[in-house]
Amino acid sequence: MLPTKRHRGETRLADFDPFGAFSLLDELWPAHFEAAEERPFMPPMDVSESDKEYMVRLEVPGMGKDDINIEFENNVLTLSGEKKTSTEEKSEKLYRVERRYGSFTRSLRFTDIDADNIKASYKNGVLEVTVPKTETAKPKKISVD
Amino acid sequence: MTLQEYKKYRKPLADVSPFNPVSLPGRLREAGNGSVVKWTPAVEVGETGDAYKVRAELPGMEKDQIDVEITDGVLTISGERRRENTGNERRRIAERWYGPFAKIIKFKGIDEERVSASYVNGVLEVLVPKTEAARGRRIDIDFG
Repeated sequence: MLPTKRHRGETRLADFDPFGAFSLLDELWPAHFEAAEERPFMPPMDVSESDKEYMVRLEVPGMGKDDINIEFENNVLTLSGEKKTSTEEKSEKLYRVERRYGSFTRSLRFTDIDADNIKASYKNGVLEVTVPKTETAKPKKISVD
Repeated sequence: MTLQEYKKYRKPLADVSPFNPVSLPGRLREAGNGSVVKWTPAVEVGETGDAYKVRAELPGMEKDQIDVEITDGVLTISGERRRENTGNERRRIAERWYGPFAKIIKFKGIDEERVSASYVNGVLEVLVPKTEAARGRRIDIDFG
């Protein structure tokens, strides 16, 4: 595959070799010279595919619905937002912070997507986005006479 | 990539990689159902004058899939996370951890009877009140 210009953190989804796992190296490589605290905050994500849709699940625990943005433009789905520390207890002294905070962006490129019917929900700290395929992208059953 | 660069790159990842099961007590390494702890949730521990608050990131679970236990000052958060997809979905990207998890935090000077927990938006919060005597003095916490 020829290298193409793309946004940081963007993963190509639909134009991968259907017989091989596509690579996430494009996400990992830019980070490898940076110290841990300089690495972008990238919430873990699962993407699965069925005959009729893609399911994107992003782990963003402890957020409000309003802190999450979902955009679909030029076949690129972008999930972004800002995960803030809980401000309820300012008087709290923090001992150990393994959780990561800050703004994040995850992008996925699709082809043959029914953009009007993308749906999203946020439950138990997981953002779930359903990305339906267009009719042409769905596998067709061909009967043998 | 040279070895040095590789090490530099790999090192921070150790912070988010699953537990080395060897560091866990036997009962967790071999949980009741024979499952092995595969990952450990990210936590933060806050302290106020009269309590500690442990917040663990456990997105994608249900309340009753999380066990919170306190014995002899040792708080154990454990459970098992299962994949949401049930049908014939094919995995395209898999960055999330599944399977049995555990996190152990040791406290001193806490009131075990009054420990309580809640689970909201994928975050488990455990409130660990201090004993009367422990309020206002510094207490050591061991992480495991």
